[in-house]
Amino acid sequence: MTTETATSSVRRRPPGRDTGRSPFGYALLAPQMIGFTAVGAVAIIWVIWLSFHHVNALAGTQEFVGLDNYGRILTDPSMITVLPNTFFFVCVLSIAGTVAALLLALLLNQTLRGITVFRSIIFIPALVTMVAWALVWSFIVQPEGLLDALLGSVGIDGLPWLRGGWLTLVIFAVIQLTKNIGINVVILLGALQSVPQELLEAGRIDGAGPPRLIRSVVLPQISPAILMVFMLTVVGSFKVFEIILLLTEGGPGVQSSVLSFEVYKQGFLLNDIGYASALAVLLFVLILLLTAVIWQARKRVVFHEDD
Amino acid sequence: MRRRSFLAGLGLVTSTGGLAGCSSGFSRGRPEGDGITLRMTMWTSDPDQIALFDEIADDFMSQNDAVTNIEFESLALDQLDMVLTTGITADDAPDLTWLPVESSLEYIDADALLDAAPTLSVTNGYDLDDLVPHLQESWRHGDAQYGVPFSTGPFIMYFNKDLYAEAGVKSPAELLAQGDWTWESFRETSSQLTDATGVPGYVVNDFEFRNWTRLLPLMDAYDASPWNDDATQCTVDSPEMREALDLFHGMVFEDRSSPVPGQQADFWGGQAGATSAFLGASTLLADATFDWDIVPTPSGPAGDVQAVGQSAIVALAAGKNHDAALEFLAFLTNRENAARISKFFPPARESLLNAEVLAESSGLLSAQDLEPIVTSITTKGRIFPVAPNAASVANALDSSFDEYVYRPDADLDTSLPKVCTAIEPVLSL
Repeated sequence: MTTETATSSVRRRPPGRDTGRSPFGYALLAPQMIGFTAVGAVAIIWVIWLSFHHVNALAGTQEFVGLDNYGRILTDPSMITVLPNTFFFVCVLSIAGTVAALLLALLLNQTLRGITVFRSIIFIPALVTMVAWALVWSFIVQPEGLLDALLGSVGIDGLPWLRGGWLTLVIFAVIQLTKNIGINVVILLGALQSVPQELLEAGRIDGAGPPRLIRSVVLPQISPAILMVFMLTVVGSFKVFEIILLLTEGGPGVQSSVLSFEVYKQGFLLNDIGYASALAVLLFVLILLLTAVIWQARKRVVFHEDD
Repeated sequence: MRRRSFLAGLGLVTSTGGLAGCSSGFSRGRPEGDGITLRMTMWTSDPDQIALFDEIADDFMSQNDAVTNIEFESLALDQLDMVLTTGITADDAPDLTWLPVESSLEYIDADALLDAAPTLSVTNGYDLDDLVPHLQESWRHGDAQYGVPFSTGPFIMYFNKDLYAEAGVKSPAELLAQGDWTWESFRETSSQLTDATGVPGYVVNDFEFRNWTRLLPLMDAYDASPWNDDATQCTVDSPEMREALDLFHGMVFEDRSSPVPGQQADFWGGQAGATSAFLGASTLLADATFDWDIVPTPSGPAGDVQAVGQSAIVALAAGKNHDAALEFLAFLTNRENAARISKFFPPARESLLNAEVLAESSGLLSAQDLEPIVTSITTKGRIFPVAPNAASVANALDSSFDEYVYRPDADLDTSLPKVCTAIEPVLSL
């Protein structure tokens, strides 16, 4: 009788937060969580602790300085350039990157002969390392390089592509965007191909043309994938680093530098580990905040997220 | 031919040499050893140099039972600071390292180096007085000696004889013979060579507009320095510096006889008329398809002054085996081993620093060939200027030169004070 009651109780339990959870599931998660704790959480806490200290790495000394390193961020003249540059990449790469990936995915979702060749071409840059990609581009944009030669063939003088200003930032955005767009296209392509055909068919029967189908059927259906791509590009665009290291080292001055590169420069080139840690914490907080905002906004923009 | 072979073997990678490799570490040790293991970082991957240090390590261990293993770790020079500071922070610092003279003051001020003087003074046969005093200045503070230079050598000018012949322009050797080997005349012939051949007349080796020390041959010839003698005041805006940089700026942006920022030109591949580099760079010419020669760097208003780089072997305070590290330092730099090392690196010992002795130890180069190099080191040479906060100052200087000076429209009268504004805060830290 008791057993019967308990069983019926279990049967009646409505689907809730614990549905599907089991010790086995936690066991599967454990290796990842142990790794995250050891490599991620401990490192984050240590960096936060270092950010309150003046660290002389050569002497091996650490002196508590409170919020001095954070105060330096406010008075550091290079931040007037570095922070806008960082947000330039975040805005351009996340918005342009997502839109471009979506348009390409829509194009590559056609059932045309040989379409897989084009899909492969788009994905190839994602397979090479960022270092190789940046070096290839360095030959393209160097003075009297390939780009100058192409412009010269139509009578246009070459430009100082890597000599700072908006031009250099735009070149970096193009290099970064073309490198990673393949992965985003593949994610969106997968989502596009999983849009139920019956929904599209129903739309067509209702008289919707291709633009209306995309707007009212396809985009809502793939909106979770779009959100994921957008979040990935936002986080990734905060971490633009290799191309800056390899092509300009942030120069001239700090004209092409971003926050992630300044962390590296201060910590590993200038041995100012305390200040580098404060910059790293700022970067961490910025990414966290933006990710949280996007995650909260998902209910408004992602289909079914508010169910 | 004999000279080329020697130069190829000389492998001088002095204080800021650009030939650093990234080969993995190598070690010498007795397999049964459970005693002290010493670790030393160095920026060479030259197999001959590595073999020599291996031999010296073997000799040291045969005389010192406590040390059973010596590991040499090769890295690139621009990684050195990063590797050392990371190692110190992680309590895993090497015991010894090569250190460029530019970093000497920063490391000494931070108490990062061990005083080797007590060990050197009690080491049998070390002959401390044989170390040339004026070449030790950067490493000596009072009675303390924080490192012993193993390499002290000048920049020299390499030039492509074929390109000069093709252009029908007076080569640096001809200008030198005429007594007209100045930066002004070199600028003129470089421009002529560029006009005639289409390739840059002069490329600053290992520079890429990010390493100001590579301009020191020019700066020294004009008696220009980024800061004053005690490194407390910026002198980038001095008339001497203005004159020197005006010449360089003119070569790059007016004559176009030197590459503009970002432009690639490889002298070693035959794509430029001349380059200023350390002697060790000659290894890059081992398979050269063109005829080449070397001369001292040009003179200027300050006379025939040669920029001299220097590197020392130092023992780190963060190392775990202080006594053994200092003993190995003394062994590496004693007269006998300094003579062996002088096959690759010009020494800073009185008894070795003459052309005849060096020629004998090299076995490849004549005393006549070596004489100008020795003269540069002993009389005409000026060792790289040193500042506290070396890493920050160098970064600020390179960064502000890049932003304000290395631009086609730069007005040096207004640009150079801006450079001073940028470096003075870190210079006075």
